Amino acid sequence: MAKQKGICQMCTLGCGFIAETAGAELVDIEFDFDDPNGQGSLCAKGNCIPELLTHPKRLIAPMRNGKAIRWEEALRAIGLALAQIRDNNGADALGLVLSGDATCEEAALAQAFSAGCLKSKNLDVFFPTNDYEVLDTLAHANGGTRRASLQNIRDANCVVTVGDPFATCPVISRRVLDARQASRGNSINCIADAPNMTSRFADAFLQTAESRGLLAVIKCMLDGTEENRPAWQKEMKRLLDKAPLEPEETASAARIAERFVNAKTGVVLLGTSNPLAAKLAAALAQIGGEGKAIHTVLDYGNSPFIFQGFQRTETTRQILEHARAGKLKGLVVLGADIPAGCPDVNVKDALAKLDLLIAAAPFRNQTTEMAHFVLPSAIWQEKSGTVMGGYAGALLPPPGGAKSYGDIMKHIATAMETRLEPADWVRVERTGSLENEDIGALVEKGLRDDFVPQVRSTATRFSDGSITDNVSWRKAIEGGIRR
Amino acid sequence: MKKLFLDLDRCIGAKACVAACCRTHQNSPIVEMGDVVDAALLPEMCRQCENPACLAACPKDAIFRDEKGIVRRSNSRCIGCKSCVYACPFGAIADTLGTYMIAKCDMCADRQAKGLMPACVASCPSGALRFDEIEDIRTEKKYILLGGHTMGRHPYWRR
Repeated sequence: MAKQKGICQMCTLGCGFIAETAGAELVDIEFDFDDPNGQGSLCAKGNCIPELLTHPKRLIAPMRNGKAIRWEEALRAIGLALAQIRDNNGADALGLVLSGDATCEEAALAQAFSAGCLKSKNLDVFFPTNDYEVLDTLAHANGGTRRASLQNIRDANCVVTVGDPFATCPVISRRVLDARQASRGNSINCIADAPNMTSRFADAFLQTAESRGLLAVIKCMLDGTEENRPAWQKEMKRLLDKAPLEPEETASAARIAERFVNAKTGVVLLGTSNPLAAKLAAALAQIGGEGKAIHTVLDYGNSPFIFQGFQRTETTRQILEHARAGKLKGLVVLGADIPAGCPDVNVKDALAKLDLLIAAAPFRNQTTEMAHFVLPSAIWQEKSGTVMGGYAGALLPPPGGAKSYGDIMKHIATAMETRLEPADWVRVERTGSLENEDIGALVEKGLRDDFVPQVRSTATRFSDGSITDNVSWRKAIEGGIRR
Repeated sequence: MKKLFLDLDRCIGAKACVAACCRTHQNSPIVEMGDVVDAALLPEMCRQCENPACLAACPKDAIFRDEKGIVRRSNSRCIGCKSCVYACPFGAIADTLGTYMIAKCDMCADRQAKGLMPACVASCPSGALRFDEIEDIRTEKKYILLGGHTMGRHPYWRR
């Protein structure tokens, strides 16, 4: 029996575990007490890794219209069909949507595949949990915001949580609770739109829309001091003085603002999928001054690292619009389950208009149900590549004929008899700051508390029977384990 | 004898203990999550009672106290009559292991033999579960014991 270290990718914390394998089989996993991130513990999602990898309902053979076929046959047919659509309809008639649980190499390969083989700019890495948007807005607001490490959270005198970081990333609660219980003056303050796992522990709980709550706290922080603030903060103060905020909101916000400003070290812990709240949280950390930092927890483990190297050209929602308008004829979906990830859009309508839909996935889902070709794909522990900022080797080979997204793209490129080309698209520099922002629009949008559709990670696709509708891991635990 | 203790001021209700228990006990949930509405979350696990009702109720002597003092279930003697399931005042015994078996917490005896902690304690993300001697908890000033199984922070140490 071999022992190998693995990294859980169910969220951005990346807890380590020890996998015990015998040949091509996973025997069990064990807690790794030497791991600095998880410190030996694993949350419910992490404990389900063996169930995920050895699930009896994994797809193992390619299928064409519901019938199992051989890989060679499938690749030849897919290559022919894709080449035909590309040659008949010209550029941008094809599209590619890659799932957020890909490795960084696969994301880079997707750009080359899209440029060289599909001749299309319809390419997206799909995070149903808004990870890309949150990271993008944070990068644009980031000039001067310090990023907090896990040790910073452990040492913080004041933690302000936005959303529900304990639900996204339960292991982080260990640091937050350690920090609060270390000294009498330390506090946890929560801003969320409903009571949740985090708010149970909050010393002050501001229950309102996240962006609105953040603006209320910012208003209270700007009230006190007048001295040399940057221009954008003065502008924000002027706009917020006129803002219609409820008295209860202002009372809780004043308590949070006082604690955050007076704390020697403070961390804004972001567990939200609302991009606007992310930007305002960055503003909060900057206004807080010295010793204040921000930490983000996200649902897809590899999303910050894919985001650094990958340039999105079209969002999945735009690609669906093209399909609905008839401009897009064929779509390759690698891993992503688009209908489950976009509950607010009629996805099936758009997908039904396509001439060719190719879906690769480890399990049956709503996209594979509609696809003309279904290809079995590997889960992240079954492939090697750069994940979570470092190289991770495969713990075990994928079952049956399943292949990684990278291998699938390479084989389709060979079948299409085209070379993969490096993408020549312009890269946008992701450095920005609030100095160059339109503060008026930001404040107005923040106060309006727009509804942001919230979807929990589809990275846990295990459950008995209802793998597709399983967008929440809590549902997975109730349905999957408690049979 | 070491026992499981739950720190009520730290349990976030992540259900990692439930998942870990399932994983190490053939997918049968011995630990279940209770929810005292608006007051506390607590995993319902075996209290290792001093005078166990399950032991007294068992007609086949399948539940016994081993040399370490842990109340355990014998695989070969259990006939699945579920007397212990009804007898347990805490609802900590599940009847889901199989037709002729009940699932009883054995403090992960096989893991302890290897020098490892029980799975639920090792897995707990917030550090709410502890596996310790009762005397060690009693002498720590920052905790107060609530019954034989749960503990809370002393009000002075709460913040």
